[in-house]
Amino acid sequence: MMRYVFGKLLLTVPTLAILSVVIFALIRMVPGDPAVFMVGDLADAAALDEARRELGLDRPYAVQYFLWLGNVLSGDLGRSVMTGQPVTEAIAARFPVTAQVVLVAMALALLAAVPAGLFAGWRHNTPADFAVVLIMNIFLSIPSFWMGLMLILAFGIYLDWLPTVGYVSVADDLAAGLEYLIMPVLAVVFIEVATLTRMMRASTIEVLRQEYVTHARAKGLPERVVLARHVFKNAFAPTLTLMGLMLGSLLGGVAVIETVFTLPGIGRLLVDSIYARDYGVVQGVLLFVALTYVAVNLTVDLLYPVFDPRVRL
Amino acid sequence: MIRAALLLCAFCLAGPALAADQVLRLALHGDIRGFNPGVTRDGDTDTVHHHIFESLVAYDADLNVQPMLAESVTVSEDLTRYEFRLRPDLIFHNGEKVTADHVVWSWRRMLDPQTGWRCRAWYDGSANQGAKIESVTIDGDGGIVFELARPSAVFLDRMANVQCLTAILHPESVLPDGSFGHPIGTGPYELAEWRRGEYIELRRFDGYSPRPEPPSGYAGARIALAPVLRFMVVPDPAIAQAGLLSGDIDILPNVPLHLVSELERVPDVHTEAADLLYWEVLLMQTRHPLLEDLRIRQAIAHAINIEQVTAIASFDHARANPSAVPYISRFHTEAHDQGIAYDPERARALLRAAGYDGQVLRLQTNRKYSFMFDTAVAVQAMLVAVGMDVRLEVVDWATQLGNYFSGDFELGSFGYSGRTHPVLNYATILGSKDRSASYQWESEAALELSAAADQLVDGGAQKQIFEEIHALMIEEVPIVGLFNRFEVDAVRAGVVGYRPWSTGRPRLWGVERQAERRP
Repeated sequence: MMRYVFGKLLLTVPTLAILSVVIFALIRMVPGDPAVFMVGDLADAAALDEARRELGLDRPYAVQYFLWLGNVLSGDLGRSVMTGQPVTEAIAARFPVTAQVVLVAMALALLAAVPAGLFAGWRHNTPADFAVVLIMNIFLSIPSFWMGLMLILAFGIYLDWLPTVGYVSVADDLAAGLEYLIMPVLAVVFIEVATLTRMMRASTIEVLRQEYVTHARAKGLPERVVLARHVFKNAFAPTLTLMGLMLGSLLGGVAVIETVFTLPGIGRLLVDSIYARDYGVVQGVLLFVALTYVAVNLTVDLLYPVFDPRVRL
Repeated sequence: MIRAALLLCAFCLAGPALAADQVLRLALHGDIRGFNPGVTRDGDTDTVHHHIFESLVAYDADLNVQPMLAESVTVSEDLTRYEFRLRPDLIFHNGEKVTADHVVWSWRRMLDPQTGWRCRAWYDGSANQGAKIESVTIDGDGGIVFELARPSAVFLDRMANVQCLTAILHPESVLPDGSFGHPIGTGPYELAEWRRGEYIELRRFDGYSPRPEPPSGYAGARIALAPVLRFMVVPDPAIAQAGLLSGDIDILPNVPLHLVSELERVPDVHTEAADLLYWEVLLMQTRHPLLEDLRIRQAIAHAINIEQVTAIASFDHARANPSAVPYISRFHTEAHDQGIAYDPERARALLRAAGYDGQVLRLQTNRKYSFMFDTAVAVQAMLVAVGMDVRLEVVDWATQLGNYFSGDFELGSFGYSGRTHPVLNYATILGSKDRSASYQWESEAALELSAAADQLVDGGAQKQIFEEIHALMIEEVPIVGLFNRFEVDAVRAGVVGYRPWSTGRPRLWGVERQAERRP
């Protein structure tokens, strides 16, 4: 087990090294100059040159890269070009907002998707199965921004139940925080529940065809026990892998949802920084997202044997 | 039901909070960059700064410079000595009295290259056009004296400029290591809280003494009626509109013009409008092999019906203006209304004479500012109609702005933010591209005229010079002036006293909520 974890962690080193080069190069390949944003509409050539010198953009790319890498290795992800805020501080402030929405949404999506998928797979090719598939296909087809806008229209404007703009952390004010969380969480649930249900359904159909399920039924075990003990655990393992992938990408920022609901999450931070060519923030956030992705998938790998005993780490 | 349950829960869990109707909420398009005035800045940041900081002088609604922190301003006849006397009742947010020493300290800090003040070039003689401050001192009577190396008639205009705030700060705003700390200014509001990406909250400064004159522009009495201001960061216009309709936002500045008629039908909302100083133009890269030919540029200008472009891009709200002098400026005369006539036949003839044979020109625009995109679409159609092959190149705003500063464009639908004096307008576009690729018009004659205008006190003589510069611009066609923007702000019912003005910077002093926010 420890060897497995150590091996996985070791593998992340070259992954992150390659990613750091890609991240560094990618943002510089996008046209646009951070110095222009720093100086603003009053820029003249001298001010721009000065800003570029200040930002170190007048140096060769290789020098810029190794300077950045050196700082990253010493725990300094740099500073925002726009605000001067340390990138680590920005991530520390923004990530909990995203994590809060994503983790609650993922938990709710799982709570809905697992029984729905299991039920649909169990009732394969029946009207109940078709109904679940139809509903999930509808959810899957709805763009997240549209879903967000519809929620705002329905609950924020017409019904006037929930606030449309702003954010309150549940840590500051639990009740108000929950009010602000409901719509973004629902929007993420709608996106994720469909994918998870379909995966759970497909795995269930496959597992139900296995000999050990036939054997369990032949033994006279009640269907409830067959489903719970023999089908669920085996069918859930692939869903867990998918959940890991989804969680990794969602924790990297649900930029559209965060923009629609004006949440100060990491996705919006990244998008705003890309628009402003804020190299420091873009690089730092992308690196952090990559690390999150690796960490989530490692956790999922470690959880895998719990649901599928055939897997040994 | 849900709301009621949550509210009940809130009462159980939370302590007493600020009453909702004490907070006046205005939507900002983006988060601010910081509180270091003139250093960490952009349009939204400036809006917040102007509530916290003040300068010696300020613009009134008619774009005349008026004293703000200053009680009086004395200008020497040769325009090289400006003396200011401070109002006696001025107090910083930390309770300390404002003195001439604070003013001198603030100005020396602004002029120090280490500060990174964005407008230093306007005052240290390094800009193409600009003043050169020799010294800022205190005379025997406690007056603050600015000595200039050369005369400048627009020194006060620069000082009152809305983009580069010449804020008078308390030295404790700056930390011992030179970085900026908590902002301590003299404005009617002081910083309460900045939640990055969420909002900036200002609270009323009770020690503020407003000027006796009625409020006008950034000048006159700044009376803080609302106890708390909250500038909410809402980047998406559709969401900001939803926030306004639901009552979570009180004031939504700069409504997309296509939404105005829809918002005007909403019972709880009214709109306020203003003509802006912002100038929308068609840029032409005069060093491009094709566009360096004057006949091609003239052909382009003749092909564009600027009234139609204006109507399309502003949904019939704005007014066409071929001149860099805004039509609401007191320097705008009939001569500035004279542009290049819309004449497609003449355009075709000029193209033929220039030997144009269908070379492709790319017209850069962006989707962030819908009026720039709409302008580009209309201009493209008009140029295609006279036989030109013009293709739209839609890029993001950051790319377009970068390309503007590097000169990497052929044609561009672009906008200049508002400048309050024609000398400042021309300073933005006039100059050699060898010096800065962002200059659009390389005319020594126009530069000399603009510099001459900076030496004249007589408004009439200045007017004449600006007319001459405009006539030169029409002759040389370095740029096609299209229109000055028009702003419509949407305001919730019950919010009283809010008026937009020509700089496009919202002001929330003198504004209050008189109706309770929805439960």
